[in-house]
Formats: sequence, C-alpha cells, structure tokens
Amino acid sequence: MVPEARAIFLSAAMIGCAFPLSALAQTAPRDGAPASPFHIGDARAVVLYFIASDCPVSNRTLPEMLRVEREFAGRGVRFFFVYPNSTETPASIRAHRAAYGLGPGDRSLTDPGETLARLTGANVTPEAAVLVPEGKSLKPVYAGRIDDRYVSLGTERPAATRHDLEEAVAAVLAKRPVPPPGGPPVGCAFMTLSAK
Amino acid sequence: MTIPTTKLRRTEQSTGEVVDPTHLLKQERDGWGTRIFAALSLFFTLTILNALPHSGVGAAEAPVTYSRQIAPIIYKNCSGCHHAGGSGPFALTSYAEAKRWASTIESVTQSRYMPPWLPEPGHGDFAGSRRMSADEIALLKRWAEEGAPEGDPAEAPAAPVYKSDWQLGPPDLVLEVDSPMQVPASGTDLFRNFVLPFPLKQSKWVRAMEIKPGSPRVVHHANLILDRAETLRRTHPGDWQQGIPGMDVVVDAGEGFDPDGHFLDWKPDSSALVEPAGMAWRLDPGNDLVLNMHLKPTGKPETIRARIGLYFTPDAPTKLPILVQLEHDAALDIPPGDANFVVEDKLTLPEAVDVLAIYPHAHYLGKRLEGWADLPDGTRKDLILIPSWDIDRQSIYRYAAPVALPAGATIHMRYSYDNSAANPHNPNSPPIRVTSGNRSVDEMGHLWLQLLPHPAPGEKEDPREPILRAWMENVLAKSPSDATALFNLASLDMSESDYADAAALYRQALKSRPNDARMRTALAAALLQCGDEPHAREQLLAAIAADPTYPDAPYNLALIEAAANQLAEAVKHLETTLALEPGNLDARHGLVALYAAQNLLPEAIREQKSVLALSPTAAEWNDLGALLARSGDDPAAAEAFRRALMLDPANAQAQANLNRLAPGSTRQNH
Repeated sequence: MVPEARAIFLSAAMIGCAFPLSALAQTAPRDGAPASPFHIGDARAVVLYFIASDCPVSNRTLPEMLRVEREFAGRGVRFFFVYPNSTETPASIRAHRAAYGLGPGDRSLTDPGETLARLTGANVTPEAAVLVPEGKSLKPVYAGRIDDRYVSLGTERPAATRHDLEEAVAAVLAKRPVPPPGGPPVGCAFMTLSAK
Repeated sequence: MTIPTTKLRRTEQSTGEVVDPTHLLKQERDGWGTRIFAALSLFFTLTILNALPHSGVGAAEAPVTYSRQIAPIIYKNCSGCHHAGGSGPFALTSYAEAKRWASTIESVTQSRYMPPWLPEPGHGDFAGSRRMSADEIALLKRWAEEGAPEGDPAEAPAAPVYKSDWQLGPPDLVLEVDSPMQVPASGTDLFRNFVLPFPLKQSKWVRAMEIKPGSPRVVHHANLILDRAETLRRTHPGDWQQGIPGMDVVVDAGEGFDPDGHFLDWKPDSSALVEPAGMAWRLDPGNDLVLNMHLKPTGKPETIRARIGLYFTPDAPTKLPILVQLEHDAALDIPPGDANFVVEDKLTLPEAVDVLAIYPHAHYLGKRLEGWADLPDGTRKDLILIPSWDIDRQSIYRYAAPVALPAGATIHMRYSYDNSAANPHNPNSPPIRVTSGNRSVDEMGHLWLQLLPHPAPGEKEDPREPILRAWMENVLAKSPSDATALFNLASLDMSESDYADAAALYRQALKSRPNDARMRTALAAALLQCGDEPHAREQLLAAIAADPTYPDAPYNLALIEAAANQLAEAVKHLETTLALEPGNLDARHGLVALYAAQNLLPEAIREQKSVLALSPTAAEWNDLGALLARSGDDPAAAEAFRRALMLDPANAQAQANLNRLAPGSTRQNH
C-alpha cells in the first residue's frame, strides 16, 4: 500500500516535470516478457494509455483510444498501452490485446515499479498521458481523461461532447499550449496506488 | 360470425412473476433476517464505540475484515451479478477479487450507483430490494480505507456457487433467436426486438420461464412481449429474423378479449421467473414471443443469441391479472433547455384491486418518476418514487405483498424531465425540442401496473373489463380521437351487446383510420347485430377494397351471403379467405357445409380432407365418414368412422354411424 502523501505529491508535481528516457526503459516487461528498451524513435509525442483488462469503463473506452490513434496516424505520435495493475498476468494481457485489437505486443507495457504511474500521476483506468521529447528526457504535458463520456461511475453521456486527449495531442503537434483536461478521469482506481 | 373484440395497444411492456405465497413467506423471512442483522450490527458498532477511547492516538478499533464483515455483505449484495459468467464485468466471489476492487466498491456504494436500485425507500415495499443498508455501506468504506484486510480466512462464509444451466432443470421447450446478432465494439446503446415464434401446434399454459440473453455483460435488460397476431413478422417481413430496432414495441392484441396480465422480463441478476400458483400465462399456436433487448457495447465486438426456456403446466389460471398503463405521451413536448418539464396522468379504479407489480418507464430525459394512489377516504398511498431516474437501471418492481386499493381509488403518475445540457444523459447536444417516440432520442412517460381485480359480489362479467373500460375512457379524455381506445371501447360494448354504441364508436375511429380493414369489418359486425345488413355489406366491401389481404372481411361477407342463400357467392368469398389464411378452420368448415348444402359431395369431401389435415380429430373423421356415406362410398365411410373410434372409442356418434352402414361395408379391409 502506497502512503497517501506520495500520491498527492505526485499529482501536484506531475505536469511540467521532465523525466529521463532511461526511466521508461525500465518499465517493461511487455506482455510480461523480460524488460527491454522502450523505443520511441523520432516520435514528436508519446501517448500512454493506462488500461485494465477487467475494468468495464476502460474496455468501453478502448475503441475511442484506438480512434484517436488512427486520427494521428503518420504524424509522429507513438501510442502505448500500460497495464498498471499488479493483478495482470502475461496471459491476461495477451488475451486482452487480442480481444480488443490493440496491435503488437511491444506496445503493451506493465508498470511493476509504478514508474509510469508515478511520473505521470495517472491513478485510474482509463487515463491518458501525453509526453513530448525534451533532450534526453520525456516531459509530460497532459495527464487525464480521454474524453467526457463518463461523468462519474454510473453516469454516462450517450456520446462524448469534448475530446480532451485529442485536443491535447493536436495542440502538441501545432505547438500550441496544451489545454488541461476539462474534468477528472472516471474509471477504476489502480490497485497498486492508493485511490486517495 | 367473427366479432373482433378487444385489441390492446401495447408498448414497452415487460414481465411477470407475481407474489406467490411461498415467495411471500420467503420475503418475510428475509425481511426479518435483515432487521435482525441491522440491529445486531448497530449493537456491535455501539459496543465498539463505547469500549474504545475516542481520543486515544493509536487506539485501534477492531479492524473490519473481509472474512468477518465484508464477505457476507458482498455475497448477499454483489455476487449475484459479479461472478464468473454473470452479468457483472468482474467477479466478486473471493478475497483477492474484492481486494482488487476495494476502492471502487467504496466509491460506487457511497454514491449508491451499486447495487443498482432506483426506488426511494418508504414509497412502496418491494420484493428483492437491492438497496444496501447505511451500515453495510459504512463498513465497506471503513474496510477499503483500512487497506482491505482479509482477517482470518477460517471466519469467512462459503462463497456462493452459481450454475450456468437452466435454474429449474431442463425446460419443456427452448426457443432460440433465429440468427445471432453482432453488437459493435462501440457506439450508443442499441435497442433491438427479436421475434421467437411459438412452434407448437397446441396451446400451452406457461408456469415459469427463464431468459438466457446470450451474453449477460452486453444485455442491460430485456422485456418479453407476447405478440398474439404476428404483428412484427407481418410489418417487418424481410428483416424480423435479424431483430427490429426500437426501444418500445407496439403489437396487436389479436382476436378476443385477452388483455396482457404479466410482466415478463430479464434483468442482470434475475433467475427463472416463476408465476404464482393459479397465474400461468397462455401461448397459442401462431403466437410470437418478442424479446425487447437493451444492449450496451463493451469495447469489443460481441455476438449474442438469446434463448428462452419455457416450463408448462396443465392447469389453466384461476387468477387473471391485467396490465394497465398511465401515460400522457401526447403532452410530451419538451422545449430545449427545460430542466423540469412535468407530465401527469391519473386513473380512477372502478373496482377494488391488488397492485402486484409496477413498471415505470421513461427514456434519457426522465428525471423524477412518482406513482401513488389517492384513496376515497382522502389518504394517500405511495406506489413508487424514483428520485433520480436512469434507464440503464430500469426494472419491474414487484411488491413484497400485494397493495390493496379500494374501488374509487385514483392512481396518479407524475414524471419530470430534464432537457437541459446539464443532464448528462441528454441524447441531444445541444438540447433540441423532444416529443414522444420509439427512438432513444425521443421520450416516453409510462407507468405500467399489474392489477389483480377483486370482482364485486355477484359480478358476472370478466372483472378485467371494467378496468379496461376505465383505462380506455381515460385515454379518450386525453386524446379524444385515439383510434385504439375507440376500438377497444367499441369492442367492450360489443361484448355487452351494446351494438348501436359500438357502431358509433367504430365510425368515430374510422375517421382517423379510413383504410383500417379490421375496423370496417368490426363496424360491419356491429351493424349486422343491429339488423342493418345493407350497410354491413357495404362496410365489408370497403374493407376488402382497403386491404384485400385481410381475411376476416371476405369471411364475414361469406356468412352474409350464406344467410341470404347466395351459396355460390359465399363459396367464392370463403375461397378468398382460405387463399389468404389456409389454416382458417372456420372458413374450411364453412366451405364443407356450403358444398354439402349444394350437394356438391366430391368438393365437400375434398375440403373435409383438408380440414382433417389441419385437425385430425375423431369428430372430423366422423364428419368425413358422414359425407362419404352420403356419396355412397360405404367402405370408405366405414373406414373413416373406424378412424374416429380409434381416436375416441367412446364417440357414440361415430359408433352409431358405423352401425347404420350396410352390413357388408363394415368389414374391415386389410
């Protein structure tokens, strides 16, 4: 169990605090495979999707996450799926990836050291973080909800009216200031971090 | 004479188990159990509070553990849906599973999103209430905040076990949706109606039913509607196998006075639906079961194919409930931005009833739904209050004990709607004007009640008739030209032999439905009863002109011609009827009689053989024998009489006919 103070500190410290690319390299194993480098190549931006194979809100949002990815295809944005819960297994991730069409396994990461969660401040699935390369580091410029479809657990719009993540990525590519999310992420708290 | 009687307009209707005595006892026991548990837990809490110093830093309260306090709460309130193969998106049947979801359990019980239960306590006492007590919710919160400890596993009760097969054992009949449906990975919710034709050739009484929706995690709820007249198959000939979109279903009630009396539904934790003793429901050959399903995309493509298991009983029902509806859809015209648009309706009961169940229904703008009864002595009896409506959690609510209402009680509904942008469920962004309709972007406001009428002493008519009359008069008070209400009232007049009144009502209804062949045929029936044959004939010809595929019009015309001794004309109309409806036994019998009356025996024998193909009974074999004997074919006649006696050895008429034949012809041919 993580002490409360750390989560609060991380939330406050998240945006604008760059972290070295080497930190990301330690976050595998993908699909439970041994750790290997986290290749971002010459990407202009990296999007991390925090998801859980057993979270219904996360699963229902996956088509929207994939849509955002298609929206930015060929424009230098790399997308990764992060499974932050320690209850996930290589088998559960493989099966989930196949069922929801999430693409090759080298885009599926676990976060055993809670590195990515700590550095982005994410604590819910689904949640997204946008990072931009800055020298040898990646700097988070957005962390929060994908869109506003879910107002709270149990309260859902028929369709999203605001696509927060898409707006953030578009702003990064246009070199505009990134607008913060319009509301908190709604979904399933990570098991590994305190919900508080 | 075919006299079409009551047809009911039906909508999103639903279900029906009601309160059987064993159920009641169980509910009462459960009720006591809950109260004792609540009292004990209060006592327990007080004891702890008294025993522990409040100010002491580091003074630990006895920890709330999964094994001691939490497992019983979760098994009772959550596991019914949250188990492997259940409708919940994850299982909650072990400590590891509960720990993984501890903080979510805390937040969704605090907000009362879970367990799903919309009615406010104190406004109707319902069977199977899922409302969690405040003590239980407080314990879950403490447990999550204290790190979700397990405690001593030896203290934990055994986890419930759920089986995936039919709960009541193998059904007498299993129906399956014709073709599987693909539910897309994403998008808005889908509302689809699947037609399952009842395949048997004889009527059955259904005492229990279980719906297996296919993939419970995709299906939010399902209502089953009886379509007595193949309405959906006729109106969607090309696509009914794939399922017909729509939130609500309107079906024709078919011939005869047979108002729906049962709510038939599936909801995420529902098991088999067992009717109380004496309240079985009927299925006839040609009936369709229509499964109205609310489907929610899960994020990946899903395939669903629902099945329905039916359990029969030989016992006809002794108690006949009726479903009635309060509504005022005509008044649903909600301006954009209006956050509190109110619709009301009321219905005064002509006789005493027991209210067995209630089903409030609105779409996405529904906000606060309320139903109550004002009694003749001035007191008010609350039937239901849903302070914060959510269609995703809609349900049929059955009372823990029947709610008795005296004659003269007035049932009220009062629904409010929020068509502002602040309503997250609003399907229109930005909000637009919304009126009533079947699509999810339209709105509805219905309060269905299952009533069991108590007939007044000495009352002879079906006790459901006065209630139906009051309901239809209420519809007309709101919508004076409502053709369905006019038709139903006219049909009630017909059943009470008020033919002139019935004719006037049918004429009024025809103003808005001039091409309704059945309405014209019904008017003809009323006119004929009034002795006005010329106008009856005129209406029937107009009905045939309006819809040449409606078989009852030529059938009735045949009867008029037959009565006027125009036998050839009558034959022609019956043949038209049979071309449209080959299985119409009445028409075929009529044809046999007409041919026999004209001494056209080969034709009569041919038609009687067609009758036998549909209905191979002793009486029909006897009739064939009689026709064959008249035509002089004694050996064949003897064979027919013997067939009748094989089916029914006590058939005195067939025996007498056989004895009457010339002795030589009764020898059996082998």
